[in-house]
Amino acid sequence: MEADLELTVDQKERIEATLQRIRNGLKIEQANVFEEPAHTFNAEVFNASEK
Amino acid sequence: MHQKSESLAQQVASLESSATTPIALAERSLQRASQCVELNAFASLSEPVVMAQAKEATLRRQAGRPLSPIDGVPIAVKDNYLTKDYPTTACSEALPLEPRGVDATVVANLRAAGAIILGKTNMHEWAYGATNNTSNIGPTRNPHNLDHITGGSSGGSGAAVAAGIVSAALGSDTGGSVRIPSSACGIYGFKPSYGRASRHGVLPLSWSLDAPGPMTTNLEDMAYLLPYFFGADEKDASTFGARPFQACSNAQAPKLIKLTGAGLERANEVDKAVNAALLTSGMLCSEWDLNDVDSYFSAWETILHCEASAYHKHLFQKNPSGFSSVTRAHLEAGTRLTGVELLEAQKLRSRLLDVLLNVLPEWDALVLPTLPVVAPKQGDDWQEFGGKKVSTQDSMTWFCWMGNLAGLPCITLPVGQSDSGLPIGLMLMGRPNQDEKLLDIATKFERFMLHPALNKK
Repeated sequence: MEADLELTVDQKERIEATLQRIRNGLKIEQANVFEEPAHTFNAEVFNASEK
Repeated sequence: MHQKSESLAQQVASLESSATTPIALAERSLQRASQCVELNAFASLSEPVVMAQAKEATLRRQAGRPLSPIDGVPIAVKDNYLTKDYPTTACSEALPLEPRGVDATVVANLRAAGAIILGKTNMHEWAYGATNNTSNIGPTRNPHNLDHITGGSSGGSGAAVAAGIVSAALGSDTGGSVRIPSSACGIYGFKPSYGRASRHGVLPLSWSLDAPGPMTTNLEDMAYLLPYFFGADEKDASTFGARPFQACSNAQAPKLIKLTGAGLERANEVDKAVNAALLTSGMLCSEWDLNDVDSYFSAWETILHCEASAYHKHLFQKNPSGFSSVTRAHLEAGTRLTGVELLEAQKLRSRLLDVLLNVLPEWDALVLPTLPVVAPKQGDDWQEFGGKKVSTQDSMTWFCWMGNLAGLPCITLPVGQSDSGLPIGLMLMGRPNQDEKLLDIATKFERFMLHPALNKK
């Protein structure tokens, strides 16, 4: 954030742990790495059986 | 302190037969709230505000002109819904303690139907956590055992319903915040499909994950309340294609799939209660080992922190000391994620939907425990289950985040209790926008669970 705040040790550790966990999860390779992300979120369009 | 109140349906019947009045219901709620102050369930509760609404509702009833069946029923509202006569603070120091003079769409719908907006319930600050221990007015306490947490972030709403102060309350759900306290407090909670219920006037945490939802003492009452949540709202673009609520009772022999696998571990006593409920219900249920749960969870967390940081950027800049230390750390983490990482998370979101809806064998509802553990003790920072040691915060969202990432309708219902007497909840997740069918499946599931002979007819 832009607010010039001194972060405490606990906050720094939380931020580090959060980012590390997220990045570990995101880097798990998925089957089709060339898939496009969802441009807009509409869960129903994935419901192939309903089409 | 746990006390099952009359259900909303019972209150409606009593009002219709003139066995009670809105004034009597409001007085009873206020009296019960004053007996339960230890729960710390309310952020704002004003007797004059409540009684003014109750008097108007009573006059309408006496004149034979109720606005709807729920005219005169008291309902508690989480403190992140805008309400014209109460302040809306999200239990944060960053917001002013003055009413904004406007209602969230769901509150406005309920008020137009004559419901009495009883008060604003305690919540985890900004809904940015699932324990309800971080709040500017202090933690809520579980009516089943005051030494235990309610879970959150709609913990005050959960406590108010479980203690019999109200028959129904409003919550909001970004990673389980309706379902978590509902399960921990032994009540029922419903998270609608994304885009089905208006979020307008509910202070956002993460706008593509958030959903408002009701919390009640039984399933029947959901059908009274969901019509005030569902349908298109010109003030919320996500609802433009939303259908109004239309009750459904034709779910025949629904197929259930119980999800398991790494990242979906649960305590033995919880698994035992869920399996017993499934077995007793006699409903068809297979099992599916879901892969890559950790990566989908990371996608949820990425979207959550990025959207929350973007939403709070200006207020944080203006009033940083108004945010708690942990919330500040979350917001800071969100700003350090890159645009590419956010898009990778969105890609994983699409993949989870594809896996759940198209790769799994045909299903009508997915089954998980709502929580992997029963309500933790106040002050316990860690939970151990299934060979894992997990922070209490993460244990609360352990299963629930998936429904938000995929935008699916979800419902939690109580199915048992631990040896220590704490409630255990079971979660059913439905297909997108099949909220009514999910409610029908849950109703049948509970009926068969309680009366197995009915499923053999």
